This record gives sequence, structure tokens and C-alpha cells, in this order.
Amino acid sequence: MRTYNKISKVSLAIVLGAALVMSPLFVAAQRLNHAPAASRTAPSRPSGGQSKSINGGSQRSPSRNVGNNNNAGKRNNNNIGNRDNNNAGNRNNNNAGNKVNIDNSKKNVNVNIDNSRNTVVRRNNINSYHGSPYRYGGHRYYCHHAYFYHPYRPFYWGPVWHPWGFFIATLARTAIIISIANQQYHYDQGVYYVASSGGYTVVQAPVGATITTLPEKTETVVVNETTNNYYYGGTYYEKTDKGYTVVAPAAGTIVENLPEGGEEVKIGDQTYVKVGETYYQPTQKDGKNVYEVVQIEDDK
Amino acid sequence: MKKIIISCLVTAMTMGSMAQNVKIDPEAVLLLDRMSAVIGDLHSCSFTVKASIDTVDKELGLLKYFNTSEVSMVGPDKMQVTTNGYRGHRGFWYNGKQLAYYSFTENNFGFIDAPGTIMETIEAVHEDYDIDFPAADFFFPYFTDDLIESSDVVSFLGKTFVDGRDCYHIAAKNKEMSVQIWIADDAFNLPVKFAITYYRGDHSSQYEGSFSNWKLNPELPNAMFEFTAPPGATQLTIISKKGN
Repeated sequence: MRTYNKISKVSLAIVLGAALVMSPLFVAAQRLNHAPAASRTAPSRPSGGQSKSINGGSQRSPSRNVGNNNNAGKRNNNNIGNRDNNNAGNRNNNNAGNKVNIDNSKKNVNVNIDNSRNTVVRRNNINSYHGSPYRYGGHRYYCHHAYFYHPYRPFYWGPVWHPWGFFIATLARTAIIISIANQQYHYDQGVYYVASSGGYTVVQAPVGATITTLPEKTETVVVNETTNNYYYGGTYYEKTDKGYTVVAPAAGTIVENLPEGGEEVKIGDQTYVKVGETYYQPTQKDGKNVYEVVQIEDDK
Repeated sequence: MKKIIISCLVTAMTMGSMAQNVKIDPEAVLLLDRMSAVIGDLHSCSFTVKASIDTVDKELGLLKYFNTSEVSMVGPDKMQVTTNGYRGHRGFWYNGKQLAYYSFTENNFGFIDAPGTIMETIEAVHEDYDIDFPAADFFFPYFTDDLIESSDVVSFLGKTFVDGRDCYHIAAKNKEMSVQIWIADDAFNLPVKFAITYYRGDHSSQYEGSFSNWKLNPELPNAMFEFTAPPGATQLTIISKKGN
């Protein structure tokens, strides 16, 4: 009986967990097919200026031949969408709001450090994800937990922690030097610096850097059933023989706080926080607002 | 008088089509053209659309979601849409230069550079961002031609009573979808209801909507198409499908 109850509870948990993360397999599109504008004769406009009509006026193809079966044929739908969109892109016109202005791009750090490994996510086997991923723009976004939006509020890990791009003139005496891939970093209490003109600038923690003691306020974060990481200031560590080594974020990891330097990005209907090359999905766990590291795959 | 003329034409053409057994009913085309002509002559309008959208869930089967949208347009380049429903409460403001997005639910906003007309903007944001505006199809200038060209059959199904109104019922179908449109039997012949059914494998799903509160050529202030971010709102970057 005890075994049966345990199995039932596990089964129920799996079903509920799956229900929480399921995305619809198929959503009915909300529009009909329309021929590209280029394939149509330009609508006639009244003389003396631009038409004020909402759509330029109803139009009818001169070649329309209603009632003749031979001509009521199908259209090649492959031509839909082949229009020149003139680079309809993003423009920031309004600075009201909590837009983060820390610039952590390479050019402002003035050093040639390849940090691309630092935030590129370590992937899981996608079969470990229950339910369907979120799909947009030729990509699939995998998460274990359902999307639940809460606004991005950068977190500060105390007075000794600084975000990427922060400049200081001198380092504390407790700082040590760590060399990774022929690059020297200065490390102090969870923050990594590189020398820049007149002082030191905070950079992303380099993957492979090893420290012996974790900073105060480091949290243990669960990666999967058998693996934990340690998280401080936006940096992930794994325990190794030599201490604690910086690793890239692992997909599926849940963290409560994200550092400054993230950017909220709207991808279709969902808003993620992008920190470096890592996408975090806002979600909830045990009633608390948290973020999950997203695994992104090409939609083939 | 107009109503009598259209009724007579419809009756005559129905008798003709029955004799010929054609796949594209001229009377259906006549009504669709009439509807499009009225819409095409509008300089401004506002209306409400209540829609339901089906999704197919692997475990739960067919699920239905709802939203209600308030739409205002001033030709050729102003549009404002506020939608409340399964995607939260959100709004779009198009002023001829850019499309602003604001989520009342999440208190965040973003901007997209937009083309110079309403129809080009609707097309562009559909292609680049998967953003669709409720019942936008009816505003495409070649709506009737597009429907004819993409359908194997377009039929006039007669008159019926829908949402408290006498309507003409039209249906069109191809291998992948069917479309039903109910057009008001009155002086304006505006759409009353539509239903698009998609056929995919084992599942069919539907997008359905009902129009109400039509206002034709209202005076709408330009200011209502300009967006100002509320205090405390967070700006976000809207990612295009192509740049993703």
C-alpha cells in the first residue's frame, strides 16, 4: 500500500508538472492568406493627394473571372510573405522606465577577451523536457517551468559586488590574479576585473577560473537531480578537486536573482531576460518569482 | 431601396447558379465585393471584436481561448488596438511611423519601426513579429480576390439570423481551411461574424470572431494614436522573427 501511494504521488507530480509546462502543440492562425502587394496592380488613388481611406479603397482584379470553373483555381501559397519589409526594426524612442544603461560590450572594456563561452548555455537532453517548447522565429525555447512574467529588477549582491563594466581605480589588497587562456584577471570577492586604462574594469567571470572559497551569500542552485551549481553575482561555479570552477549556465537552472546588465526582450508573446548570451524565462517556483535558464534549439 | 435591389440580384443569381452548379457563387462574390466596397470607402472606423481561438494541446485536446479587442483606425496611417484576453491586457498604437506595444498586464512596452500605412504595417508585423490584429483580413483591399484565389469553392448559403441580426451567410473552402462569413443584411453590409477552420491531420481548430459597435467615419483625435509610457513601465526590446 505504501509503495502504491508513493507511485501514485509520483505519477500525480509528473502529470501536474507536465500540465504546468505544456505549451499548445498547435495554435490556430488568426488570418487568411493574402497575395503579396507586389503581385497586385497598385490601387488607383484619387487625384490631388493621398487617399484618406483606411485601406486605399476596395480593389478588384481586372482578370477576375467568377463563375468559370477553369479559372477558380488555387494560388501558389509559397509566394506569400516575399515582400521587402524595409528593415522594420526596433527603435528606442522613449526612455521612461527602468532601462539599464550599463554597457558591458567589449569595446568599452578595451580588452580583447573572448567571453562568449561564459554565458552560452550548457544544454540538456531535450527529452528531459515535458511538453512542447515555445516556438518563435525558427527557434524552440525549452523550459521545465511555465512562463510567468515578473519584471526584471537587477539584484545587487552587496557593497563589494559590482556589475560588468564597472570601473575602479584601485583593487583591494585581497585581490588575486587568475590567468585563463593567456589573459590575466584580477579576482576579489566574487568579482573579476581586467586592467584597463587607469584602473580596472569588471568583466564576466571567465569559464575555467578556479577559486578556493566561494563568496559570502553564494547560493546553491539545482541543475538537475544529481548536480548542483553555486551561484553568486551572475556567475556559476561547480565544485572541483581544486576548489570551485566557473562554468557556463546550465539549461534548466533556477535562480532567484539576476545581475544588472540584463535586457528584457520580447520574443513573440513571451518576455525573457537576456544576460550576455543566456536567456532567462521568468517563472514561479513554490510561489516565488524566479528565473529558469532557457535551452534554445533551432526549429528544424 | 438598396436592400431591395441587392435582394433581387441575389435571388436572380441564386437561381442562375443552381442551374450551372458553379464552384464560385456570383452572389457570394457580389456580397463580398459590396462589403469590401463599404469598408474601402471608410476614412475612419471603430469596432469591437470578440474572438475565440482554438489550440491543440497534446494532453488535454482542444482548448479554447478568448479575447476582446477594441479597434480604431483613421486612414491611411493611424490605428489603435486594445486587446484583453488570453494573452493578457495589451495595446498597440500606430501613428504612421512606428508601432508602440504596451502590456497593461506586465507594465512593459516596446517600439517597432513601421511602414507608412495601416495595411503595410499590419502585413509587416505579421511577417516579422507574428503579431496579428483582430479581423484584419477584412480590411485588405483585395479581400474578395484573395478569397476566391485561395478557395476551391465559394458559396452563398442563404440568409440566416446571427447575433440578433439578419445576415447573408457565405462559406469558402480549400484543402487546408474553410472560411465562413456572415454579412449584415442592411444598408452597410458590414461583417457580423466570421469563422476560420483549419484542418491539420487529426485535428481541426477554429478562429472565430464577432463584430459589434461599428462606428463609421467617426472623428477620432490624433492624440489617441500616440503612446506615452506610464510611470514605472519597463522598456523592452521586441525581437523580430528574422533577427532572432
